[in-house]
Amino acid sequence: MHNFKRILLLIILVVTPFLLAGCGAQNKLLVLNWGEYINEDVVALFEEAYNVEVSISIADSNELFYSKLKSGTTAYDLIVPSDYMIEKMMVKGLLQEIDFSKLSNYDPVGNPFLQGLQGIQATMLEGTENYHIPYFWGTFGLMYNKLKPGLEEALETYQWQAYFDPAYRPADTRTGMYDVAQFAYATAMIYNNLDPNEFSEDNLDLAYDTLIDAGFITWADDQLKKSIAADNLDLAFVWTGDFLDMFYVALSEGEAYDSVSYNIFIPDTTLAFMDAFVIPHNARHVDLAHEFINWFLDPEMAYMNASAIGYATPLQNTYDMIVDYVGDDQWLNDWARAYMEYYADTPDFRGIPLANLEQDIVSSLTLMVNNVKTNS
Amino acid sequence: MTNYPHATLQEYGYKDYRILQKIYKVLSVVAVILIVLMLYISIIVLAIQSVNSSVSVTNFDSFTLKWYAEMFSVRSLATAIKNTVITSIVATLLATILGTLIAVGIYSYAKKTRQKIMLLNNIPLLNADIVTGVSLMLVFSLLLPIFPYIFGPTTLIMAHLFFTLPYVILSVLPKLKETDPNLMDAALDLGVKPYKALLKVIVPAIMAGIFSGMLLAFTMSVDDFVISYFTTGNGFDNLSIWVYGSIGRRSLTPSVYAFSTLLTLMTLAIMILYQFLMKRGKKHA
Repeated sequence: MHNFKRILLLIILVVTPFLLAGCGAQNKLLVLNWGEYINEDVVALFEEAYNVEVSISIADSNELFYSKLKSGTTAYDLIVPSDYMIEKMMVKGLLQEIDFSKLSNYDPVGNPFLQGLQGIQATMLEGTENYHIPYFWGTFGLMYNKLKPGLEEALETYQWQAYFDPAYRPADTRTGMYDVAQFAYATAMIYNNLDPNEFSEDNLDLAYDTLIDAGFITWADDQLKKSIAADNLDLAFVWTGDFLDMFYVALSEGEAYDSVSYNIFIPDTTLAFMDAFVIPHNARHVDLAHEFINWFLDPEMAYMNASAIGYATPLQNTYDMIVDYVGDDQWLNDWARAYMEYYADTPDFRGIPLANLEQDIVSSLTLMVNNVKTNS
Repeated sequence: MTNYPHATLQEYGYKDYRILQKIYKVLSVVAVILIVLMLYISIIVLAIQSVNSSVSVTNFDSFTLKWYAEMFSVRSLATAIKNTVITSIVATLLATILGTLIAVGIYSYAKKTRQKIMLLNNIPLLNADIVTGVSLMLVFSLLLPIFPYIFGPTTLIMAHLFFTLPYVILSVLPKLKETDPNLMDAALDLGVKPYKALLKVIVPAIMAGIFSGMLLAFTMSVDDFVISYFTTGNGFDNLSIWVYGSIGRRSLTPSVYAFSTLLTLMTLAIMILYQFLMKRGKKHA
């Protein structure tokens, strides 16, 4: 009898934490997002309005989104992967369709998505539009050093040629490339007027020659923009949003818009991306997830959210609110100007999202880029 | 008697190394400084950045402590810090209590059995973190059908318990060996009940070992990434996971530098305390 009581006590002790853990998490919306990619004030307002808790975990790559969704240790209610990953997840049956009747703020007529974004969506697999609602989108551009004379004109005249062919840019321009094999390959293909997502052995050789001839002095990631700002580099391929983050920081530290020593040029045809809300197939709070998406479709909330993030808002009305600002606030004026210059809403802009490549193609691209690095 | 010249010391084969010795001394000091500098330069840079008022790491604007104050204003960062502290404290306390009891138990075995159990104890210590992490995740996943929300604080604390426990046991056992083997019998002879004897006689005798084990466990737990990464879930992220996720597309907020600096200082303080305890423990023994 004595022993029995002890065993019972032990069992209770062991089981209680599990039960407690189970209770705590049940009314929480579980979101998986990129780091620093949401305005926490907007989330706080949502929590207040719906009296729930939103828990945001972060991932740093699309592949991580995929593996976190697959591993199943956590049933996320909402995740924010990019274009090609959405296609992959949809094809593998990991997503559930969005119920548009639950999204009262969704209005493709009165508040459509921006043209550049629609261009990206148009390149995606048929059917994906039923599974995602865009969250932010952005482009890649050529960030350059304004202290280098003649470079700005060269870029505006020759676009990609100025980046890949030393003959079209001022002598001794120091150029750098993003250290991701697929970016290097895709840009080389755009320069040669080929589809950046198509892969063949011939294209691989062509990309190799193009990258060798381009004469990059450095291959890096985060460091590129910092090097240009520090006048150690003149031209590099970077995320526009990344550039804007740095640009906004410079503005907030009191620099005037035109006196910042670097700028970015967005070619007419460039790589672009879109991050969108999708609901995983095993989500437990589907209704709440729809409410959350709806919250960010509200132009006011999207405006507030965009004010904290350097990437481009998907909504036409929010875009108009940003660029149509009239008033004396220095920051809001600068912001409007930056949006018009870097996220121009024109039909002739062509943004191409990257495709999801097979592992062996990625390996051969990486090998090619490594050869470029060692032989140039 | 002819006056033979005296042989000089040099003629006996003596070489004057005094100058060289001085040079060697200077060189060794320089070398030590260089090595220590190399080891600590990253931490020093981190500390400098944590008081830099500019977000950019390439220029130092002016001295500020605002990042320390802002640490808790970024909500996700504040949550991550809170989670880290909760996990480490709970796991450390559990590990200390259980570890001490287990160590006392192991000590009471015959030497051969004790060695076998110690082998089992040492495996988690030497095992690669990633193996521990993945295997714990698999074990916890088995419970998913019964407890769908099990991943989170519970699993994280259990995982931390798993890899901190051996450290406590390892630092308590040597202290037990130092105590008089008849201590327990003496206490019982004087009429105390066994568990009272454990609390009032054995535990005070091995207090230094318990404390040092606890501090060790805490430092291991507070900066763990790999195991935590696999065993947490449902939005319960600790600081290292948060930092890992943050460096994807944007630059880190300098508040991370601030917290890391604080963490380093805390670890340093704990290590000094540890050394102090070990020394005091030796003196008493």
